[in-house]
Amino acid sequence: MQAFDTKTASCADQFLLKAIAEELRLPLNRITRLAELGYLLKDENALANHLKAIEHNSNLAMQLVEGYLIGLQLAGSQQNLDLEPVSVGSVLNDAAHQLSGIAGEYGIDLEILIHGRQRLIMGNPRALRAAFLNIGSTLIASQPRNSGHSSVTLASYPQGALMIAGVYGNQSIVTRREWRRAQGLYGRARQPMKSLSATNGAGLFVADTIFRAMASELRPSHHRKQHGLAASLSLSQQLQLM
Amino acid sequence: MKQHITTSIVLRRTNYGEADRILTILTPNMGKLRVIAKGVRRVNAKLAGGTELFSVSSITFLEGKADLGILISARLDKHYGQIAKDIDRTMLGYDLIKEIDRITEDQAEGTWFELLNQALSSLDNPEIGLSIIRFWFQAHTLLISGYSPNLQTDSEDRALDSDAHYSFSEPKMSFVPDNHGKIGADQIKFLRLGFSDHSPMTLQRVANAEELVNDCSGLLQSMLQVSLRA
Amino acid sequence: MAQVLLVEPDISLAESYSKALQRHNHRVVVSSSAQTAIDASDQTRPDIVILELQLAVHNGIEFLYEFRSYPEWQNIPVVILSMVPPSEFSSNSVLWKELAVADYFYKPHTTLNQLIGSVQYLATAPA
Repeated sequence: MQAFDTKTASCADQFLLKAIAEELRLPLNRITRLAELGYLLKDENALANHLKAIEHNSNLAMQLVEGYLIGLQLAGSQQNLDLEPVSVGSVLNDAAHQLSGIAGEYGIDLEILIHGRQRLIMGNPRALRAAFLNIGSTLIASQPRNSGHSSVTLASYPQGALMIAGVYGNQSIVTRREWRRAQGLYGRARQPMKSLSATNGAGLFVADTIFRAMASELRPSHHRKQHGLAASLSLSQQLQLM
Repeated sequence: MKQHITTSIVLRRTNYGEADRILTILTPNMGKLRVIAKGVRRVNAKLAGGTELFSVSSITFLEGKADLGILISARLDKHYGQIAKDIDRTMLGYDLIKEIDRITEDQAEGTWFELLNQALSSLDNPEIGLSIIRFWFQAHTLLISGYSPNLQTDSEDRALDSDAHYSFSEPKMSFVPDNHGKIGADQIKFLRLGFSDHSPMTLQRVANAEELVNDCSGLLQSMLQVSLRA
Repeated sequence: MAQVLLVEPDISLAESYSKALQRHNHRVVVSSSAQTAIDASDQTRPDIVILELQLAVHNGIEFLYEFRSYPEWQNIPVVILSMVPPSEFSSNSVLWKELAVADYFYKPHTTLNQLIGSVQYLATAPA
């Protein structure tokens, strides 16, 4: 395991924090405008929808902050990682449940695809959930709007000695080249990933930080004709689902 | 009608009528020209954006009436695709293009083309900071226009002293000894680098380059305002 | 009162701004990208454009440059409503003048009423 480099870590932290701070303006701005609109329209029927939307956006903002704090925690305690055998499928189900609100607001069909022999992986369930929530909400909010049907899928499947878990969309494509370039630019460029609409992708970088603390990383991936981002997770040697 | 082939960078484009487009282009050997691209269908207008703007192309055109050439063909030689991926770079790219358009006369020398080409090339490189590129561009604008400052001797014709501090006199385009002046040895060395043949990348590699740009940018700006009414 | 083209990539914000403008009797067309905004302008000439600069693929400045290259669109007022604070641009305001930007709003600091006020003013100002 690599020694924890505090200087490099603090520089990277600064950029990540900057990206997160910039990204937080989006859900907070949405909340403010929704509240303003509620007051402007004074339509009690629409008020319930506004409040729901405010709730979703508050959760989004919270996820971003939470994910970052978890990533910090994990990175800071590399000598004593808080890992345990985790069912990826159950984490994805959890994440999908929490993402369903924001997906509905954006008119995105949210699906879960858990197939193949599901095995336990070594991970931190809270961290994994935060990672998938951040990837999911970023992809949901940045699906390009056109006349086609948009869907986002949370998927996990085995691949050799690993479990692959990720979030995919039928419309957005993040290429390897773009992802590599973005990893060098977050916190420095306003739009590290130009293919993403509206968001600067901070949630993806937060998720990547979490996976890296678990000896993995977020990578562009495709699965069943959908493109997205996924991580390869090591199997737990302790327990296997029969 | 005489046919010409040249390299070009687009400075401006204006849609004309239902189907035509007029381009103002900068070339290395023929200065600034206007050509009309006939029959480009507006109904299928695609956002040319960076594809046309931040690019170097080889074009063939015929001499036309009233100094408006007729574009026959264009082949993209080099597209500085990274510029349009970053909004700050796009802004500076447009800024520099408009500046060149404003400064150049119809018989612009080839050095203006080279200046713009190198500026765009630097903008295309994310390792080079925007302030460095702007600084370098401004310095070379002054150089090409024949308004470079005296970076060797002060206003009294004495060699510049590495321990002294100076302020700058725009009318004299030289440094005046001033104990409270903000210009010292580091700033003068940096200015010399900026006004030399070195590329923006060389300036980027100087220690504390961004700070030095900050120290010198006001000076360059006032030189431009006095000399070129920029 | 006015035909407004809103170039805004975020669905939630687009809906909030649209509804607020429609409340004041403006007709609103929403585009999420530079290309669809050009297409929309082709279909229905806007009286006013409200533009976010941070768009996917082609940014708002590219859109503005393209938009202004059409003579018939050169006098249409454009209001920038962006996540990018104007002070962060290294460029000065000359470019905004050249591109005929009527107003610049930084989104987090701009209320719906402020935006509507600007649109109302531009809709009734003499051309």
